[in-house]
Amino acid sequence: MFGRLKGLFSYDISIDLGTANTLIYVRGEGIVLNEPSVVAIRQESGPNNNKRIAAVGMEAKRMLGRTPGNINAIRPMKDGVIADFTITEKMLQHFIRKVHEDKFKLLKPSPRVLICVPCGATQVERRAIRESAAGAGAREVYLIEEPMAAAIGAGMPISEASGSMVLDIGGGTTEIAVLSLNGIVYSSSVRIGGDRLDEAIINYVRRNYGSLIGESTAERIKHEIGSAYPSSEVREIEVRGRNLAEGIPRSFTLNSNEILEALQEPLAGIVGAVKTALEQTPPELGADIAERGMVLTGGGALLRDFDRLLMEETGLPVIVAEDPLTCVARGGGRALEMMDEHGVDIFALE
Amino acid sequence: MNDMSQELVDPPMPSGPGRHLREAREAKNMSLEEAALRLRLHERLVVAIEEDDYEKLPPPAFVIGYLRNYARLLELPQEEVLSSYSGYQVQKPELVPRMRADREVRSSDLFVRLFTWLIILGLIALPAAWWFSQRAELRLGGGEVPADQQPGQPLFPFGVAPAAPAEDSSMGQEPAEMAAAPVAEEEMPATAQAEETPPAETAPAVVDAVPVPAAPGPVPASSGMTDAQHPQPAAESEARPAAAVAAHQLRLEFKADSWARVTDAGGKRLLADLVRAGNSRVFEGQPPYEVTLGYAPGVEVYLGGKLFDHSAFNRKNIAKFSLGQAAGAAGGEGAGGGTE
Repeated sequence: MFGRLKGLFSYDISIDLGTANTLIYVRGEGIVLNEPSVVAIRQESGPNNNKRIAAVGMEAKRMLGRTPGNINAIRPMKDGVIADFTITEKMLQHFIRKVHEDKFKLLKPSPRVLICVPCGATQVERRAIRESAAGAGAREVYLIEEPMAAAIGAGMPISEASGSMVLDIGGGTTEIAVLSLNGIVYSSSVRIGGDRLDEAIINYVRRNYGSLIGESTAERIKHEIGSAYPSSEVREIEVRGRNLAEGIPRSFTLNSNEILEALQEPLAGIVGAVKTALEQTPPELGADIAERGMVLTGGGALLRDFDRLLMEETGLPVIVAEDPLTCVARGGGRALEMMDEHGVDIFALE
Repeated sequence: MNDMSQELVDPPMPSGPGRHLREAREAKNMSLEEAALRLRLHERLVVAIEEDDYEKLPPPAFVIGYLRNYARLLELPQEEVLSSYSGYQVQKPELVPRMRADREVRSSDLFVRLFTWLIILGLIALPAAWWFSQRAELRLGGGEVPADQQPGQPLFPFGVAPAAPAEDSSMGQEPAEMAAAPVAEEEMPATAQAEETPPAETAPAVVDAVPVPAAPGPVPASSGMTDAQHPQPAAESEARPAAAVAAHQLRLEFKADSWARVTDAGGKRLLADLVRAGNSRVFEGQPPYEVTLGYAPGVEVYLGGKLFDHSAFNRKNIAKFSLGQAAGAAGGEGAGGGTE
């Protein structure tokens, strides 16, 4: 009863707790927060060695790789699941408070929260996410599998008795699922995502240019010239990295074909997972998918020509969802609304 | 005919991206088959896109993707193509599965919970009722008297007693008779004291003569209203010293609460009631008396003023015996003790 009372002063929110970014969708208001899942922790000098949160989100991300000894910028999520429980809890707490900041100032927020988890997450990992959200002040916590939320967010007709395939390429994981009748028929999760692409770029540059670049730079390269399929247009970018032989920062130019080559390995991993999924899909649903195509969501879908790569590799129509970055969070919000209207068991929520 | 209707429908609609796409495709000298192949779509769907026939196409999420891919294939600006599509108001897919049945009844539903509580209460109440009835029957010694004297029910002072049982008994004739009986009995001492001569037949006579419901009325009137209203302690103390005690007078002194039943030789029930500790009852009926005591150790029995030791008949604190003239001092045939 008290919880219901507290609910009057809190939102119903859906959180896409991603490896790279955390998005929060507030019911009736849309996406209100989109920040990197990064926390900067300051080690205080003193007898207790207290740790304090120095920054969260965008601010903390700017510190990544640029911190002095007493500050540590970390990403508490790894491969779609919690790597550091306490920090994740603090981060969620910060985000939830931030979302409620403008409207409900007096009371500690205690929202109903729906969190998207990778379908490959183990029971332990799910429980960690649930408890982390509860610790951050959530009144009720529901978990929904990410591809389900992504499909809802992308506007796919998942309640029909026909197969829908969704490919959600996140920061840490890629989720592939075939859905029908509001349920998951097949799902798999590969731990290849945006981070692996960045890593691949770092490794390529080190191998071919003898230079070391940071994660942020690699991400910038990926965003600007990264592509998954050869195209006639060649783009270039100038980056600076530390030359390993000389130990001095040097500037050099990379082009999109080089990055395409760099990304071959992780992309092949994703394509392989998609092919496996198609193999495992029951034939009727497979026919539906072949007719309509699969939908790409998540930040990875923004990699240039990734849909063309999949189209060529699978021979199926592939489409990129509208606003793929926010699909999961929006889908979670929609699921929350549907849940209110039709009961908790409309989707396979936990 | 179909084409005709298509053309009739087309003009009022805002021109969708279909025509634009078809023109661009034709300008590029690309056949429909080639476009379908490059888009990995069925030709039927490409035709539907070019004809803006969204009924034949999958939900908008897919259509937007197809249009974007088609625009990219034809090197058209995607936004332009999409902006002309968004003019169509196509509904978002409904996410409620149509196969969904009515909501299942759950254990958390209010009426299920109420029903459960009712069942639980019933399950508690039934053994309780059984236990109370067992206890009442134990007191009655397995008698046929209905349980109008439930233990939970307060026992009324004797002057008032007749009214209450008559009211709540649902058994009709018999309880009414019972109710009348105590009155007759308890008035006895008062009558005896007043007249000094114990008329043996008074009590039965009164009960017989007077109609049952009216019994409480006339009796006190005949013997003195005040005594009747506060009968017991006074009547008891005055009855005891009475010098001349008839040889067949039966007196029961209750040291503890006990159920007792007394029947005289004529089969007339003189007493069948729970009597509270400290009370005493005097009967002058026709001996031999059949006496049943629910709690024998708590009752002293005097016959003709002499204490009668009934301990020989005790079975589990229940004594059942007969005493009086015919059987001598101790009715031998009444030795069958309490059964329950």
